[in-house]
Amino acid sequence: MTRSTLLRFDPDEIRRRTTSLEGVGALLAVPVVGFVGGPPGIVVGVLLAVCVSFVDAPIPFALAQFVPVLFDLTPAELVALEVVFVPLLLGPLSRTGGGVRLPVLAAVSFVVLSGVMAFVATSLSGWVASVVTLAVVGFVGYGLHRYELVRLGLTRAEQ
Amino acid sequence: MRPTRRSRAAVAVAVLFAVLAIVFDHPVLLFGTVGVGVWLLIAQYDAARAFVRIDDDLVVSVTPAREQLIVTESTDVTVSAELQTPSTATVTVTAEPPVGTTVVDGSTTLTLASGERSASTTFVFEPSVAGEFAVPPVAVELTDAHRSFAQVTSKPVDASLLVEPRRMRDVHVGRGGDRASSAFGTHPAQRGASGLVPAGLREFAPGDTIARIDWKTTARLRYPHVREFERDDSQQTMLVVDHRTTMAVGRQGETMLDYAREVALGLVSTAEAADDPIGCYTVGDGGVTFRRQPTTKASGFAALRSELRTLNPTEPTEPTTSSSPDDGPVIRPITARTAATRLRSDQSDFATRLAPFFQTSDAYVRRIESDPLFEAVRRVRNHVRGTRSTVILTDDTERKRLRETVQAARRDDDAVLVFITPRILFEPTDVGTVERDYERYVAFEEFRRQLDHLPRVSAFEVGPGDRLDEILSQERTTESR
Repeated sequence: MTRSTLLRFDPDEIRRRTTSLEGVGALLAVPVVGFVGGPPGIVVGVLLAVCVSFVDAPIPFALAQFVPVLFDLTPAELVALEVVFVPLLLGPLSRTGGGVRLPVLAAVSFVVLSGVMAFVATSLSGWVASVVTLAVVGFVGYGLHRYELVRLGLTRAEQ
Repeated sequence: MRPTRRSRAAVAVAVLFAVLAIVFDHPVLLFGTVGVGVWLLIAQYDAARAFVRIDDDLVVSVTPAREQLIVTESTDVTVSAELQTPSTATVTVTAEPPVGTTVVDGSTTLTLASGERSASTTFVFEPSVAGEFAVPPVAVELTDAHRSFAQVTSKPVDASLLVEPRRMRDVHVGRGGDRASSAFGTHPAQRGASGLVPAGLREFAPGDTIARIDWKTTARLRYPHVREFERDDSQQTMLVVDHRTTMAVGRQGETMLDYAREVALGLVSTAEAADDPIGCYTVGDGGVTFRRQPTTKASGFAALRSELRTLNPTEPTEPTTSSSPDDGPVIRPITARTAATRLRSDQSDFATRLAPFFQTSDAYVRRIESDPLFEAVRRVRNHVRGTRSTVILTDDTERKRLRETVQAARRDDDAVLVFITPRILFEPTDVGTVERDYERYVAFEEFRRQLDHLPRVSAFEVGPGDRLDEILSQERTTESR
């Protein structure tokens, strides 16, 4: 199987694999992060835009989550930042030829899981929220794995 | 499905952000875990759907160019894959050759890139053992559009191969391409059946059957008389089987010696069925390697078969005088001696220049007599008494010597059967040499006819019938031009 890496340096490959959503998100990140963080925010925004060009999703989205940690944000500013960052996550999902179905599904899933995480973090504690988030992702991922095995007939009959 | 390195890196990032959220007590970092987790789940869901769709849609075929082979004979195999609907995933199909076969050329893997609908590849494989082989299912490796997940499945293919052991097929014995219907194993009409000849008359005695009564004698002598028969031990068959190194030409299991052996075993079986005495001399490069006087005993026939079956080509004992088949015209020594006599009386420059070349006739006679096959035939004449048929099984490498050997064998009014394995039928074939092969076969046929026209001599060709048909088909192609 061909090697699949998160980094890309070939200009043709960058043009081929960067979607328009990712481009929009990268362009918006500079003024929005600059607005909440001032001049240092502009620098961070530019670095983030460069990261979008050379690193595959979902890493640029994950790195963007350091912005709320670097700057003290209000809840509204946090929401605005996440709205800007979400295209970095959804862009590659729109490239599979399934139209908007997958990006919409991803957006809804992000909102729901974020809500669950926020609820657990505020009502219980941060580490419980971490464990719950990882557990939910792991459980759903395992379920998809079993579904795929069954559909392909790769499961062994129970004796 | 299994995660690729890319997705494993993403999982590591998600876990890292969860840990950092705990360590720095910043739940906001959990958005990183949530985002990466959602991305992985959506990519996994998309991959699962694509893999299932491809598994239902993919058609793979494995088509060998030939479904029947001989051991160590290679054939092309084409593997093709087709999708009814193009997919964003990458499909890699790998064919596995059956156990006991080897891929000698080409690639067994083809790839359907994202968006492609069909692809094919061709490889050459060679079986090393005989048997019936079912082509195993091909391995299909699927990789999603995000290169984050992969899955390996298999697709059964309906293809099989029959590999036959290398052995002689279609043993052709005939004249000029025509098969011999019956050329040996029969007695002359004037002799009794089954090798019995009348041995005298005697009076009918109790125990004699009515079928043995000689009615003419009974009417003349007015008392029942029976005619007695005795075995005609003078009708003997002597095999002279050549297994020198020149008989090793041909593919393994299908050499000249193998075909000559097949004919010799047939002759032994025929003699045994008719209860005829048969003996055998085998001739190697160094001389006679085995001899057995004519026998009618069951143990004798068994011994002959055993010896014939274990015959192998001998190693040459001296450099051969000619490494290539003796395709030139056969010139008899008497012709050369006559020419030498004429040249001695001619004093012209032409005769003087040629005379030395005709002075080697004595050496030619000595070379003939030192020939192991000639020597064996001479021994048959000297040591086997009575009327006999001499059967010589050899090749056409040294035609002059073979002719002289046949001449020696047919003296004393003996019948001679010569079974010749022509080299042209056993040598490897090359593309583009078909016309030259036909010309060589024609030259051999001319030589065979020369022998066949000798009194009391029958000469036959022995070899693979399919190879002969291939050469003779060139005759039809040549005539049609």
